[in-house]
Amino acid sequence: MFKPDSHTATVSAVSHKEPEKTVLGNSQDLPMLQIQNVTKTFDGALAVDHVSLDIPKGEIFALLGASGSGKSTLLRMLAGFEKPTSGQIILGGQDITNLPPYERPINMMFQSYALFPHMTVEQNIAYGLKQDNLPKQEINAKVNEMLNLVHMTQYARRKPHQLSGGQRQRVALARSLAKQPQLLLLDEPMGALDKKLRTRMQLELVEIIEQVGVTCLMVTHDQEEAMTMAHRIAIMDAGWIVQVGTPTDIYETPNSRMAAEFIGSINMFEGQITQDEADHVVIESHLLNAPVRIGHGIATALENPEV
Amino acid sequence: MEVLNTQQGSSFSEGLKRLLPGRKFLIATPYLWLLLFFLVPFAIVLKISFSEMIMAIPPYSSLVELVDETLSISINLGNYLFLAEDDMYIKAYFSSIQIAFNATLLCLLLGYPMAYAMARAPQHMQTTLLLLILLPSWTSFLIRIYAWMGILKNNGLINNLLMALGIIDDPIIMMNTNFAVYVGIVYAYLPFMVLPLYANLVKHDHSLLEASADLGARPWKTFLSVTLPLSKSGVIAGSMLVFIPAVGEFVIPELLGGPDTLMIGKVLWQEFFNNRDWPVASALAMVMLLLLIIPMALFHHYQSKELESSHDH
Amino acid sequence: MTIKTKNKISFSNTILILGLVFLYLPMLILVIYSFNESRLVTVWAGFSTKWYGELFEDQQLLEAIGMSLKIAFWSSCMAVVLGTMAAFVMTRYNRFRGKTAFSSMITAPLVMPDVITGLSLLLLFVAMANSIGWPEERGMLTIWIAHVTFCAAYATVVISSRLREVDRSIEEAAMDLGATPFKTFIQITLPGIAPALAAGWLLSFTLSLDDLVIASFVSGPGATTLPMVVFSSVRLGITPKINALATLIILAVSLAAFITWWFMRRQEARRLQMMQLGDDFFDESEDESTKTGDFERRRIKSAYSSYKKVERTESAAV
Repeated sequence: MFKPDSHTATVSAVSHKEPEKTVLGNSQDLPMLQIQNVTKTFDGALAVDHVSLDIPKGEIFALLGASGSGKSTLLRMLAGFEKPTSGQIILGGQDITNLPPYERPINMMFQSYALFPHMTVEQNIAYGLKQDNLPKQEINAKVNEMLNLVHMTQYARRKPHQLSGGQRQRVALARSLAKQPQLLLLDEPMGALDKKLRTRMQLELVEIIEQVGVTCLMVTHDQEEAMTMAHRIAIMDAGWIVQVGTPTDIYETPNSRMAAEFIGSINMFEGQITQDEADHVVIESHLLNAPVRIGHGIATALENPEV
Repeated sequence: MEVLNTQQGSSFSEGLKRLLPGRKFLIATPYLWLLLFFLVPFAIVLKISFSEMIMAIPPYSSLVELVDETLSISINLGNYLFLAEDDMYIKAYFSSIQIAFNATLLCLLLGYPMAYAMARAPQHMQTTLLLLILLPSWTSFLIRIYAWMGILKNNGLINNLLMALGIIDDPIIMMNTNFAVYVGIVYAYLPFMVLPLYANLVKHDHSLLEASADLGARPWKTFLSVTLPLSKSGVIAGSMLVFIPAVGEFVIPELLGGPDTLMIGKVLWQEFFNNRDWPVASALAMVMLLLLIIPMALFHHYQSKELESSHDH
Repeated sequence: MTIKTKNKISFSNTILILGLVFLYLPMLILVIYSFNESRLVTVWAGFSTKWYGELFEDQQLLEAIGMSLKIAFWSSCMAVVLGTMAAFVMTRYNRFRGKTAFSSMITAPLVMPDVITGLSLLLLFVAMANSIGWPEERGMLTIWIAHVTFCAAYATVVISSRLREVDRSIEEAAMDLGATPFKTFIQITLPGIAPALAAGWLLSFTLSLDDLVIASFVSGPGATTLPMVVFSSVRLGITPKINALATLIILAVSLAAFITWWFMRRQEARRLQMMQLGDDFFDESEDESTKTGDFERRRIKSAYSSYKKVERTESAAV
């Protein structure tokens, strides 16, 4: 059991476990989260297929994909609810692949928020801290800090069912941030909110996450949400990562038909490649009046030339 | 950001050790209990049904020292052939199933409208109604059957009343007849029919009925084509909940039935307690179990279906 | 859906009322005749409470009541423990070897005729006593085992239907926040299923108190339960003493039912009040995003009503 008076003390107290990195110095060269060749099969069906990702410290990263694309399975493997069939998950230099959820320094904000219905807002936020057997005063201080952070101080004694959707989300966020996790997971963060509230909460959420500076991985099927909130996006389909890049990268130059379709609002046409040069191709299509010249990689690079 | 490491120094293998005995323990405890006190007893009944009655304690011949199959088969025929030869037993099986079937039908005819009315009642009434249906089944089963003895007797309440009103001169014989057995079974098992039906009907989406009406179906047609098919699993679960125990019922035919009321539960009881013929009683139980295995499988199927559908919404 | 519907509903309502009369009238008659002066149960000869006096002097009966209550108490405790474990296994562990056998073994006692259960358990106890010398004699312990076995099946059904409703993500959230599976069960799952545990316990208690057939098979010379005493006296005909006993049982059960009903009503009212509170609150917060409050309210209300339905269904699943 470590003595949690202050964070510096904590760090030194646990330092026997792993060579403690000076947090700043190391974060440049070593990514916070490394997903290495992770595969997951359910009864022989491939849900996640050799996915590798590196996420640097402090980044907000979005996994974007339709339902069944494997993004949720990947998230659940990070949280520890599923075990990868093969591959490794490394967090802050430590292999956490086989750690159970309650021993991972990762916290998650659930799609349904999963607030404990029989506990007040305060008790919900304090729950994770209590699991570490912190002294009462410290828990209270932390809970107040969190309530302040999400502007919920005056609702501290309410039960979840007395809150509106947006407020529940803030409580859920506060609860998952209270333990100062090394990685914050967001599962469809706006999924339970109605459309009007979404845009506002997206900005608020990003603001809070950036204020705290926590590394964050979110899962969403809403491309707008991913574009608004994330620094970088990975598009997933059928267990594969189709493309990784900044929102601008992906929007401007989708590398595949799938990515383009997913991003939406694009022009797509089918045609035959009539010339294939080193730097461009010429495509003729009956939908277009004139042949077009385009650079490699812009358009439907994965398509068969004889569409 | 400063990192608070919440790792508490326990490695995966430790965590696994903590987790696995929990899981195994959780599965093993009820499993072993049921194996020992539910499944193994049937194996013993089966074994004893293949043995011979002797005057000893316990009153059956032992097969244990000879595990050989040929021996057990040769003795087995004794008890089962005895059941097949004496048409009293065959009649008892037949009439048990008949009585149970008719009583189930009566329960359904009475219980379905009751459950329907409950499911359509105003929300604040439903809890109260449910409690009213449940309450009799919480009082003593024996005493509820006993209540009918006083009502159905020759000098019982109904006959006294009818004679006092001058409607009849001589008492109608109701006690110790199959009629009394029907009354008893319907009375005792009605709640078990109403509850699953209500649980099913209350889940129905009211807009389905409105849609059906909107498409031009009259209410009774809506009932036949929408409500009834949707409540199928409730009907089957409720019917099996009445039918199966009713087949093996002992108390009701014993207290309300007459000497010619043949029900297998009563016959088994008599074989066991009065004749002390354990092997024949065991054979009777095995045949009853065989007859009930299909209804039980039906019940199991629809019961799990009901349970699953209840968490869909 | 106008006149015809009304007719239809009133038809089923009539049957409902008739059915309730059918259920309650015989019990009412029992109660009335327990105050009858005459030994002849069917002839009214004036008001008297003498049968209650006789009831309390019947030592054998009182002992049997004590025995039955003791067995019922311990049976229902064990049945709830086993039932909770079995329900947890059924709802939480998707695959393990023998799961089908497990689930059939759990639902089978619900419908198994008593004579079969009783006979098979007795033969087990006899065989065990012969081969390993335990149980030495049949009595309270063997009745307890038999009652636990069939009560656990009922408790499992009640508890698992509640356990299925528990939001899995809440349990995952607890583990995510550092609670071990055991702690999660105690702190998060258990409060959620507490009403079902109570319901399972009460149901087991009444089932155990009520059982005649199984107890008759597995009991030994020393252990006589209340139904066994009642049965042997009822077999010989009607006695007013049993009417008095019946009245007391009905009174006790009605009292328990009334308390349950009252608590349920109060809880429901309190919940409604809380919803009201929530509503007021949403009205205040509507400036946050004009129509959201309204939408939220509707959404929550519909969620709430479906939750209530679930609760009802569950108590009905008994």
